[in-house]
Amino acid sequence: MDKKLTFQEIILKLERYWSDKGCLLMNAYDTEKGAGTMSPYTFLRSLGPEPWNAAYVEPSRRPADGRYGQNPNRLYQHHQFQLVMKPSPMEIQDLYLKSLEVLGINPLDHDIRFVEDNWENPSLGCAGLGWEVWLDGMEVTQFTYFQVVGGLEVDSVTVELTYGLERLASYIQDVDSVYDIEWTKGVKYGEIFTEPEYEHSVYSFEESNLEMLFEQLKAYEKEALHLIDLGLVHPAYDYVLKCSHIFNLIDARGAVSATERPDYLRRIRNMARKIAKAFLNERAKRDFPLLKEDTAKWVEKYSLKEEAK
Amino acid sequence: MTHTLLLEVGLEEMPANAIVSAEQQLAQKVADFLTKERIHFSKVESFSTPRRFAVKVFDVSDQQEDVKTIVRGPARQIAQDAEGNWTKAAIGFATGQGASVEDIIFKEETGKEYTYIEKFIQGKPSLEILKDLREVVPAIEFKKNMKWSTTSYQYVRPIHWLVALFDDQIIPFEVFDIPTCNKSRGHRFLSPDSFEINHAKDYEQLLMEHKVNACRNERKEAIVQQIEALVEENNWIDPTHHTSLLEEVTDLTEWPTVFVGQFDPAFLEVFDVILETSMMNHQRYFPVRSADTNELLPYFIGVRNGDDRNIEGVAQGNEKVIAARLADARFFYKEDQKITYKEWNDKLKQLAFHDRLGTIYDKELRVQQIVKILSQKFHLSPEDEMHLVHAAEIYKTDLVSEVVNEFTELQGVIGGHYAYERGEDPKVAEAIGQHYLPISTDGALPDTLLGSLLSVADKLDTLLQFFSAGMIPTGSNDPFALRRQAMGVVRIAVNLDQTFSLVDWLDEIVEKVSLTEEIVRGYDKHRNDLIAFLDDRLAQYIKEHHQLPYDIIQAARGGKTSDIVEKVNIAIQIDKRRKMSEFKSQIQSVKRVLNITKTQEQQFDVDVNFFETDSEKDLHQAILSLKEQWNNNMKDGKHIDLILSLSPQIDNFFEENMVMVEDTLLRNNRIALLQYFAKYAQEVADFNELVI
Repeated sequence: MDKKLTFQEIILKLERYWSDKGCLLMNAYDTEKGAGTMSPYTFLRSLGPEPWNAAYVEPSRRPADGRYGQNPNRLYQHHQFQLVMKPSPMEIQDLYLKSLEVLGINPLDHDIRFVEDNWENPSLGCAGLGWEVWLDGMEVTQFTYFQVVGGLEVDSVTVELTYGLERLASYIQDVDSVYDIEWTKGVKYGEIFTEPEYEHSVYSFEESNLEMLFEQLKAYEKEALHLIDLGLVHPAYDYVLKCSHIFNLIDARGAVSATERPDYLRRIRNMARKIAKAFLNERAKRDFPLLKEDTAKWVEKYSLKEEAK
Repeated sequence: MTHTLLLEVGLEEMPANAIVSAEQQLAQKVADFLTKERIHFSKVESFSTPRRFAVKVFDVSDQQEDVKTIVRGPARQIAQDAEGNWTKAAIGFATGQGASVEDIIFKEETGKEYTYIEKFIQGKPSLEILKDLREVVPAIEFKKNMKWSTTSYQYVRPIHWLVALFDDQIIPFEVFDIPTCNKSRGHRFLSPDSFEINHAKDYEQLLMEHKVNACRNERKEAIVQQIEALVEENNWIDPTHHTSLLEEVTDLTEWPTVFVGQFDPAFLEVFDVILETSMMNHQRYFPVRSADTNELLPYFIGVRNGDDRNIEGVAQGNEKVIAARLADARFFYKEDQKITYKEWNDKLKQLAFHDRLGTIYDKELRVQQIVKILSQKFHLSPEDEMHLVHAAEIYKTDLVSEVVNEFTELQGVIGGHYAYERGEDPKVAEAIGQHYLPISTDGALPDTLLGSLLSVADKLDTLLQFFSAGMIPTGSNDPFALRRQAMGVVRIAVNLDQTFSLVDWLDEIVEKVSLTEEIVRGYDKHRNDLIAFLDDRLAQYIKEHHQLPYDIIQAARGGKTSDIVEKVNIAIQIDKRRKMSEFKSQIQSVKRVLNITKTQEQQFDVDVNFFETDSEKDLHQAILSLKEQWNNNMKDGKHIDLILSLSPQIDNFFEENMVMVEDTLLRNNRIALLQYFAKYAQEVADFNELVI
């Protein structure tokens, strides 16, 4: 680690590496979301038998984590480097460790561990098993084998690697605050993000128009349900993402009473489940275009599943 | 000639808490398999690391043991006709056993001659049988299994390699599409290439050469020794008494190397328990205390999975992480200091206990009333009662503190520390700090009276609320851990060792505490469910903590008292008497009485004027004398002794008198006499449940 990689070099190296491994390089999805998992490139694509290998950087917004640009580790918006592969390759751990070496992290100089961590996203009805990967005691990656997505048990397992880019970069660059990370030579993270971090914190904690947000939540939910009924999977999912973000904004104001919280989460989860099923139907109708073999078998299997319902 | 058998399962990093069990199960299942297959061996050694579990079996026989069995066929007179010719029955028997009639022999059994065939089963070569070890590997059970890739297999983590050797020969089979081989793998980083094991006996030595200490105990010992060296050098208290942490780091490493890191002493202003939780639970570091002062020091001991290359760099990396974590912890602690109890309680008005059961603040209000009732039951001084009620006013406030939000495992504990820090009476602080105990079925109990009572009040309220709302655990479905809480109540009650009339008190709580109408109605509906549920926990407690047999537990449960402490005591006391020679006949006498009284619906009164025989008078006398000695404070099972001591009088009574005689007056008077006795017996236990 003699030459310290900049933030964007880290992204470029990871993109190059996973691209060489045959992954699609996607772009961040353009609707606000709390985690890379919520991108349709992970959530929807991890459903069904079609192979899917993709990598992308996902700026993830968590209104309640905003700290007015003052806390060295907590951010309103952080960046995840997301990698998904379906079916999960047997050599995925080795592939992952090589990606760290590409970033100049020689495992012999460090303590790298796979510590059990089972991941769950109740609002999307997702659950998986895996690890958090520790680099000298710091959690740098969430490593998950998806078992259930949108409430459906998977047939082909997606493995998801979520690299916390700010953490990795502050480790690689040996800085104590994310704001001191060099994004590129001569430009610091703080010089780009301190202001939006501050403003979004003010907005999320103090200035958001709750009345408007509650109305939006209602309207978006209605729209999502309507679109689900029409079988318009992707627009429907966009509205679920919007609902989720609006919910997080309301939550950051402490305006969701504990009593109402489970109900909101349940409503979002139910929509995500319906969308998961609808997505599978649509892909089956299209004969699972990304499937290279056994198409007939899978199409039949999913049509049977559909009839059984 | 004997052989060495080796079976190693190599997989992706297993959860630390799954490893020991996997190792033990493999050893057990392989031993069971060999025994079942009649393959002899002398001993089994087992191994495990995060990436593997293995067994090595010594002196394994070359062949299965041969077996001789003898099978009985039809009687001779059926097997042969008068001329001694074999019948169809005999031929059928022989063919069925894979033999011919020439193999038939005769033997006498209970005065009759039968046909027999001796069978000899030749043992097969062990190597051939060992292929069936393929069934053993998938049979190992884990708490959580997963699927991977496109397979439908379920296992703790994907399997990557399998070594199965009989000396130097590979035992060929497959598990989850992975074929066995003789290639194992060393440390993930220190020795990344796979290597050949030429002979099963060399297993752990070869692994050592490839930087894997596969013998779990040795690995643990290596960690302990390294830590002890550090401790000695620095005059610290040996932190390896944190046994679960020691076990965990043993299961997180294949080649452990210990290092010391430090943090800014300024963080020591935060409570030790917060710092220790951060170090131990979050980072798996051993916290360090001075051997002289017992004070927590700004150092920690970490265990790396690797050698000492760049160990300073590893230590520095870890220091950075703990510094950020402790900075967070201190920040939260400081934020909490700015908040008053009133503000926290206002926040509790927003925090749901359950979405159908109101808020945590409502719960505090109820528990304040419940502890008042308990204060009377336990004869608290007015001062202690005041402390207890005050504790109940604030005992849940730490739930909305920043520190508990970050360190959820410290709920209760932090509340206690905060109370102390805020100048509450130490008794108040202790009660709050202990109210969450016990946190597991056999976890530590509160060790103060006020802590015990607050804990009981909290748990009784939870049980009452959930049951009354119809949210009752079924089967393995117990999302609110009500079983654990009910068990907590039983254990605390027994620990307090004073009258604890659980059911009566529950009724009193429902009567006196302000509850919603819905809950009161629900209690009427589900009261019996709750009582049965608590009673089951009591039975479970007696079974697990005193290892008493089922019939004694049932007998004790059947007693009239609602004092659960007394019920436990009765079970223990009955068990003590069971070993005495006269116990059996005594119980028979009591049961004889109960068998008659239980069929009688009407209650009769004894009239001495109707006694006809001496034995009636004697029994009556004996009961009167029992009555005289009977009181509620009898210790050590004296009441059981009193009941049993009437056995001779009862026996005489039955010998001399018929109960069910024609004469109604006489009959009713005799029943009355028995009922008189039964009343005392039933108060103690249901003696009818005892199996003798």
